[in-house]
Amino acid sequence: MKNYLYILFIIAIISCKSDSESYVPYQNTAYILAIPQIFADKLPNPVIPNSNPFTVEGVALGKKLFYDPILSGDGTQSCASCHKQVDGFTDDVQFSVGIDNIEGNRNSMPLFNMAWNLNEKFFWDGRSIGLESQALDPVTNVVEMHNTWQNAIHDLKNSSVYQDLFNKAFPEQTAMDTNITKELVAKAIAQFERTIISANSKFDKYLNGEVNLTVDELEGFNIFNDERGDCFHCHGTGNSNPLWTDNIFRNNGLDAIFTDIGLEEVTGDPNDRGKFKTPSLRNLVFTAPYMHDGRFTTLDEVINHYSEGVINSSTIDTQMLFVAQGGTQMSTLEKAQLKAFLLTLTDNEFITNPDFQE
Amino acid sequence: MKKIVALLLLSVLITSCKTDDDSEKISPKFKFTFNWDGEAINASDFNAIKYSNETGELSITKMRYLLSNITLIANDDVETKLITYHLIDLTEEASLSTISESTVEEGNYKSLTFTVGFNEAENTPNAYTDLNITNWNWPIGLGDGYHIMQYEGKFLDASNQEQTYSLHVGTRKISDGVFEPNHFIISFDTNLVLNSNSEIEIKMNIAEWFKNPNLLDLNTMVFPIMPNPVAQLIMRDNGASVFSVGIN
Ligand code: HEC
Ligand code: HEC
Repeated sequence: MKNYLYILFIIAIISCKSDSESYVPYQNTAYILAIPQIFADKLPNPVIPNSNPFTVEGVALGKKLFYDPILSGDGTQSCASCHKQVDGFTDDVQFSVGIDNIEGNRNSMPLFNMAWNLNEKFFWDGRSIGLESQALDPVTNVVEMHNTWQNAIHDLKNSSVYQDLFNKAFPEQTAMDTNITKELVAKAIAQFERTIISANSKFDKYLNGEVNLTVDELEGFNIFNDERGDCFHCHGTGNSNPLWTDNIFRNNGLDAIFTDIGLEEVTGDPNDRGKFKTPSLRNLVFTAPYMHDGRFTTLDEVINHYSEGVINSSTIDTQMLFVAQGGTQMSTLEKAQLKAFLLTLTDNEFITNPDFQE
Repeated sequence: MKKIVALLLLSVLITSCKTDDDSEKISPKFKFTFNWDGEAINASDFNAIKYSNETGELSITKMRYLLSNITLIANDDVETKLITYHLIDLTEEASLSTISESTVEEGNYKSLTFTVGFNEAENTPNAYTDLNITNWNWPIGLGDGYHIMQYEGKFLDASNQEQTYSLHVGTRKISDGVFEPNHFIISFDTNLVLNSNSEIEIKMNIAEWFKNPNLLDLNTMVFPIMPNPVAQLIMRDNGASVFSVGIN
């Protein structure tokens, strides 16, 4: 019996040895993120965690997972069900519906330029820190993909393609083993998400000197940046911060009493009641409806809110300067010009970019 | 003879070591603190209406300001720039301390100066990526560049209603296309003794923004003040007495 063990042991060693000649762990290829010039000029470097280096294989795997309903409880829903490229990677309904036909209570969020969210707080209330951690949430969320990780990993291991893709994306972690984990799933998805960049709107081209804006669009830009619209403190002055947000949580005067308390749910601080992440203003034409609860179906409604509909409450942001008058009181012409300007932030190439397609 | 040379060499070595030790180079640490007429203000003091002045009762909800060219002047007038620029946010712990970018010798200095905001030459539109991403920019129509300060809060008006106030300081717009810089320079001409443990504390008394030399009454102030060149000048003048410096 003991001899058998010895022999087995020796065989194991020999086989290892001979393997090590042919079994070189897969050499994956570093992925070089193409940073648009306008971002390189105006923004700090994106967040790429050392613990999750970018690889070509990782990004490809992340994309496949993002589009694959295999991660959901009944195999019917993928990330892309609620984050559709044609909709600027959000969806077009007020509340997304999960696999059990239950509605959530928040509007899906557009996904782009997330590598530049330097404080790395994700969701409307910032409850997830880092894309790797965020990606773990939807799979088990009962109003979303309502799966268990055990089940999801089981399905991935049983599929004919994934083991190889994981081995290639994460050769150190998975070598000689069938070690697909939820952490690796999240890492791959996060890598793909960091590549989703939108930086080629008409306004970007205007800043690059490639196109002109119309008189109305230019006047709308002025309104955005002066007391007629007063949008710039939260969404940026436009020529300086191509993200159109600072990713800070604020109460922009939607309600007097908040049923969804937003950031307070995460911090426990009543001073954070009704504060939600300031969203980017890129691609608004694709991302309706608007706000954390999708209450506004059109941009006109959004503009009317800031013009006449601002509601006071104890946590209202001090940059809602005209709350006492209910808003900045724009004229019909000013509203139309502001809207014309906002539409220049549309990046048509973004929603057809084959790099982000299945 | 050989012995003497060796001894000489040795003593030269020793003395050179010694002189090195004497002139120890240090990188002074900085700490930025806030108070209301001497009472410390921390992030936990935000939001509550608990300060009072000529206006009445008020709260603080935001306090960010930018310092640049923090410079130490030695007794022989040699200047050393310790900090190029630094954005201080009362609620961002990491911004409340920093360390000098260059080293200086231990000892006595006669002055510390800094610019509140960027000076005209350095207030280059969009040039500072870390400031762009935190929306520190001043709008193009008001002269472009960067804010000097963003101080916000709420106050109780005559009928005890909460109103917001927003004291943002930056370039003055005199008329369309005509702008004047609004940064100011603070100098502390006092003997400063620095050693390797020294921490230079730059203190802002927020209450001073309201009183000296101009009395500010939030009830009668016309908001927004950003496009108002008179209000901008008042803020700048009041800024002169807001800062003090200590060595810890
Ligand atoms: C059933 C619809 C649904 C599915 C499926 C879904 N999401 Fe979401 N997603 C949402 C909603 C709704 C929010 C906002 C939720 C909130 O803030 O509480 C959101 C928010 C996010 C955010 C935060 C963006 C930001 O800027 O803060 C990311 C990232 C994200 N989802 C990625 C994913 C990934 C990756 C998957 C697949 C693993 C996925 N989502 C699956 C609906 C969905
Ligand atoms: C005090 C900061 C602040 C100001 C000023 C401000 N916003 Fe917002 N904006 C926000 C926040 C916060 C949200 C998200 C609120 C929520 O969902 O509860 C938001 C949401 C939006 C949305 C919805 C985007 C989406 O994806 O759902 C649009 C569009 C918008 N703002 C445009 C503007 C315009 C135009 C102005 C100026 C007229 C403006 N904002 C002024 C903070 C601000």
